[in-house]
Amino acid sequence: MSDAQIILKIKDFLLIFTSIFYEALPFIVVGALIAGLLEEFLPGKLLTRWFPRASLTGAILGAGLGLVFPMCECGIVPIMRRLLRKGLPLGSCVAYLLAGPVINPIVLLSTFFAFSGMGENPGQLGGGAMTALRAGMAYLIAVVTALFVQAYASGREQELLVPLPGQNDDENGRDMRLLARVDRVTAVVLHDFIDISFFLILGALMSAGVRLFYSQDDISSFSMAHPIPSIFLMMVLAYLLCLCSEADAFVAASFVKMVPAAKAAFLVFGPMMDIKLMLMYTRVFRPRLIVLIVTLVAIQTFVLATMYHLATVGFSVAE
Amino acid sequence: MAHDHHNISPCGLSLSLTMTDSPPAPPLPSQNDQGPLPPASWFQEQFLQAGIASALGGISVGLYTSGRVNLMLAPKFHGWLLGGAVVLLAVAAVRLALLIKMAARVRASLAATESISHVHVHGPDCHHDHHNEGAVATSQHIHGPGCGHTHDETHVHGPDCGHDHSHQWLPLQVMVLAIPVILFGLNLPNEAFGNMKALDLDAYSAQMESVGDKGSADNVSFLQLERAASNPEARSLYEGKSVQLVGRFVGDHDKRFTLIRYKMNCCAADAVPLNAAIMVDSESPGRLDYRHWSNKWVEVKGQVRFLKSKDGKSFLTALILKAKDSDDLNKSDTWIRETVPDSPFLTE
Repeated sequence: MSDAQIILKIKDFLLIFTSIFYEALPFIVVGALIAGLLEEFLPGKLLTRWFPRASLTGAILGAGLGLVFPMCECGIVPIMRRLLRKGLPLGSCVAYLLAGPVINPIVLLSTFFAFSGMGENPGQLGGGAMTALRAGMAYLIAVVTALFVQAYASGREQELLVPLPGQNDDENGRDMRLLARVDRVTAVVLHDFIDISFFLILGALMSAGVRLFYSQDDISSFSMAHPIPSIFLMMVLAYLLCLCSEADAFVAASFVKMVPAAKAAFLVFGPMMDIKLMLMYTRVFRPRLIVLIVTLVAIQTFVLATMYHLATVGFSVAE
Repeated sequence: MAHDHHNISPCGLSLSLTMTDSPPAPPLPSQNDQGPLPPASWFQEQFLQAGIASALGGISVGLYTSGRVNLMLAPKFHGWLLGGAVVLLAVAAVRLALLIKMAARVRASLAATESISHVHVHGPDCHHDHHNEGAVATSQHIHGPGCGHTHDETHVHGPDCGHDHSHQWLPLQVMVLAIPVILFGLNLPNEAFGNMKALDLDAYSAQMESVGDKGSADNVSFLQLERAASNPEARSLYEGKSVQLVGRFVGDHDKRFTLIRYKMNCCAADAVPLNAAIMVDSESPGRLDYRHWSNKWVEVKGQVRFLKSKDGKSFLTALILKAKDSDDLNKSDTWIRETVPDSPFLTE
C-alpha cells in the first residue's frame, strides 16, 4: 500500500469516526437533559407505584414504550439508567432499551422507505414486509430477554447494576429552591453527557478502525454463496458498524442480492448491540449482566432469522 | 472509604450557604494540621466537565457555521447538531456560572475565618468524630486519603473512595474527549471519502458502443440512473439519452473509468457508493488522460447505456462518450470537466 493510500485511509477513518460522533452527539445531549430532569423532578415512588411489577406485563409494556417515547439507541442509555435508579423494574428497562431503538415511528418509517420497491426483486422483501419482520423480531427478542434478565437479577439488582451518582430522593432532605434545583439538574446533565460521550468516542473510534479492513463487495459476494452464515456475518457487521437505527435500513437495502433474513438480522441486532452501545452499557450494567444480555440477544436473533430463512427459502443457496 | 453514597455534588448544600440569607458564615478554618489545603479535585472535575462540554458545543456550532458539517452529516441532522450544541452550551454556561459563584463563596468563607475548626480538610490521621460539631460540619469538607469515618451523604470524594464515581476516569476521559476538539483544530476531516475502488469493467468492454440517440434529459440524478438499472421500464426510458453526472474519477485505464458518488442517509458512516461506468465509444480514437483526471471531481456528459452483467441478471449504469479524439475528450470540456459539487454526498 502506497503512502498516499495510507493517508487516504486515515482520512476516511477520521471522517467515519467524526460522523458517528457528531450524529450521536445531539441525541446524547437530549438524553442527558431528560436524565437530569428525571433525576430532579420525577419522584422515585411514582414509577414503582404506577409501573407494573409483573415481569411479563412490564416487559410487554417496556418493549412498546418506544412508540410513545421514541429515542435512538444512544440517547436511550442515559435515560434508562436514571429510570432504573428511580425504581423502574429492570425487566421493563431492558425491554425498552432493546426494542425502543427499533420499535419507534421514525425507525419503522425509515425501514419502510428504505425497502420500498425492493419487493419487486425476486426473493426480496418490500417496505411493509421488512418493517413488519424487523419490528416483530425486535419485539419478541426484547420481551424474552427482559424476562430472562428479570428472573436472573431478581433480588440482586444492586450486584448487577452500576451505582449511579445522584441526589437523595427524599425531598425533605434537599434544598428545593429553584437555583439549587437548576444546579443539580445541570450537574447531572453534564455528568451523564461526559460519562456517555467518553464511551461513544471509544466505540466510534473502534467502529471506524474496523472498516479499514473490509469492503461491502467482500460481504456481498460471501453472503450470496452462504446465506445462513451470512446471517451471522451481518450480525457481526452490525456490531462493528455502529450505525444509527434510522440509517441502518438504507445500508441493509444496499445489499441488493442478500437474503432478507440476513438483512433482518442486521437490522435487529445492530440497534440492540454494537461496539459503542456495549461500551455505553458498561455505565449501566455490570459485565456479567451485559454478557447475559448480549448472549440472549445474539442467540435469538440468529435463531429467528435462520428460522425465517428456512421457512421462506429452504436450504437452497441464494443465487 | 467504604461507604455508599451517590451524591453527585455538594452543590445543594453549598448553594444553601451562598444564596440564602443563611446564618452568619460558619467558622471556617482553612488548614488542618497537615498544612495547606489540598487541591479541590471536585471543583476541578466540575470545571473540566463544563469546559469539555463547552468545547464540544462550541466546535459543533463551528462545524455548522463553517459548512464542514456537510462532510459528516446529512442536512436533516444539521439542525439537530446545532440544537444539541446550543443546549449543551447553555447547560455548561449555567453550570460554570454556578460553580464560579460557589467556589468564590467557599474561598471567601475559608479565608474569612481561621479560628473555629468544624469545617476543615481531613487528612490521613483524621480519626475523630466531628459530625456533631455544627450545621455545616457534616456536609462541607474534603476527604483525604486516610479518612476512615462515616460520612453524611453530601461531600467531596477523595482519591481512595471505595465506591463508584466517574472522576477516577478523569485524566483518561479528558484525553479521549479531547480527540474531537483536536481534530477540529487541525481542520480534520477535510474531504469526503478518498480511498475508492474502481469497478472491474473488463467484462463490459464489449458493450462500449453507443446506442440510438434519444436526445438529452435534464436533471437526471445519479440516484435515478442507479435505480433505473434494476427496473426494465426505467431502463428503456433512459437508455440512449444524454445526461450529465457529477462524481469522482476513479480508474487507470485510457478507455474507461468509474464515476463514484456516495449517497448518505444520515451520516458519512452509512454512506454507500453509487457507481457508473464511463466508457469511451469503441469507435472513437480518443483516449482518456486518466493521470490528469484521477481522483478529481468531474462532471461527465454522455449517452446512457445499461450494461448487462456476465450472467445476464443485472445491469450496470454506464455513460458512453462519443468524443472525436483525445483532445476533444480531455480538453474541450464537452465530455469531462472539473467541477466542485455543492455537497460531496447525495442525499434524499
